[in-house]
Amino acid sequence: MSAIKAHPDYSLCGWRFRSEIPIEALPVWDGDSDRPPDIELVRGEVAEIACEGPVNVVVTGPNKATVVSVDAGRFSVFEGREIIADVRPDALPGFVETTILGPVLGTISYQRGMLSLHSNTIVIDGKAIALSGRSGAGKSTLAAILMKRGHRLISDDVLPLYESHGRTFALPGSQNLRLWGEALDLIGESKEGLRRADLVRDKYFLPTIDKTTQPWPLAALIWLERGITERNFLRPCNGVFRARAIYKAFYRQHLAREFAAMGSKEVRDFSLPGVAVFDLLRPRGLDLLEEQARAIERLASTDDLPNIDQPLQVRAAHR
Amino acid sequence: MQPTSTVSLANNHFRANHDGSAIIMSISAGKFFSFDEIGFEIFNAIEKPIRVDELVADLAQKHNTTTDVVMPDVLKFLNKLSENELISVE
Repeated sequence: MSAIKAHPDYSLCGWRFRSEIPIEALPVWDGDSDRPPDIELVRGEVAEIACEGPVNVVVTGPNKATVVSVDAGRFSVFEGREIIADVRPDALPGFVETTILGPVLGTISYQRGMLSLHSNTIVIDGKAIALSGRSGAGKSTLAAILMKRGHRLISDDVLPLYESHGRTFALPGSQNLRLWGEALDLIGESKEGLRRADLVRDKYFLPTIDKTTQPWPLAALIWLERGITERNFLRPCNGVFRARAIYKAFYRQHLAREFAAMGSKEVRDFSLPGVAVFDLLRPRGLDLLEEQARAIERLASTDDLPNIDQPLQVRAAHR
Repeated sequence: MQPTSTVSLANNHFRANHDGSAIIMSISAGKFFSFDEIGFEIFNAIEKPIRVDELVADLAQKHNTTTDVVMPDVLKFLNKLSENELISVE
């Protein structure tokens, strides 16, 4: 019996990704047509693993892990290249996709010896700017306003990184931004026609303007904290503060720790050369949203970004 | 720890190199450490198992001083690394 391929291969982080499950958030593979797939996802059975919490990654060795999602199913990941997906029959396709481009991709990255950040990442003037922070810090809303201002999203969740010639490069992952309905209202974006990202929660996929397949130089990591503040500026983080902000931004810190402890030298190195690190306090709602987006644009346009050592003011808008 | 002890770096850390110095994070201790150039030099020198007296001899030669001068500081530094589970000592 021959398998019928219903959809093309995708480009995931520059890898050729063959998947039996369609993935809307990825561009179609446009590289060498003779290149064999770098990553392959097939449907199959994955043994049950008892876990607590909605999503878990259980690492059983340097080359084997299982992602267990209460809502999406179980996904075994081998050697950074093979995925067996045991999808729940009632799973929302968007949720399955989010799991594949979230914890499954994160696991693949670590298995391949690549450190990954948890961030919404936007490209401004050819430079990738990673917005990171705990859940509710406002990274998606800020990313959405930057997208609305014409910038491209290259990652919604997992941002695999690699180093080359003393620079850090960001690989594009999920290129749909998951956004709460409330945040869409805040930025004046209609929910009509947007795909649901969740059956229960009021979340939607906001697609990027133009999907990309290439790596982008990572110029800055901005760690967002929720707070009302008089400290209204992008504050450079250096030394231990820089390291601490990067560590906080790791995608699933426990995975990074496990792979580091298993001997992955690449995962242990969080130097991120060429990346400037800042923190920024983000008030709730629309407050300072446009102003902070403009400040990030100004930051991206700075020639000597890695050497900025003075705070960059977020100017109040003229009303 | 003795001069005859053998020390080696554990996998139990993250490291960031920046401008010749380094920030090391001990995973088990959950602490960050800022190393100057000499500290970082030692950190790199113990990537593979090495006896403390050999390490001290190498450092003394490289920095044009004597092992008597270097040994106390190196032992103090290595003990600090050991307390934070950054190295194994045999």
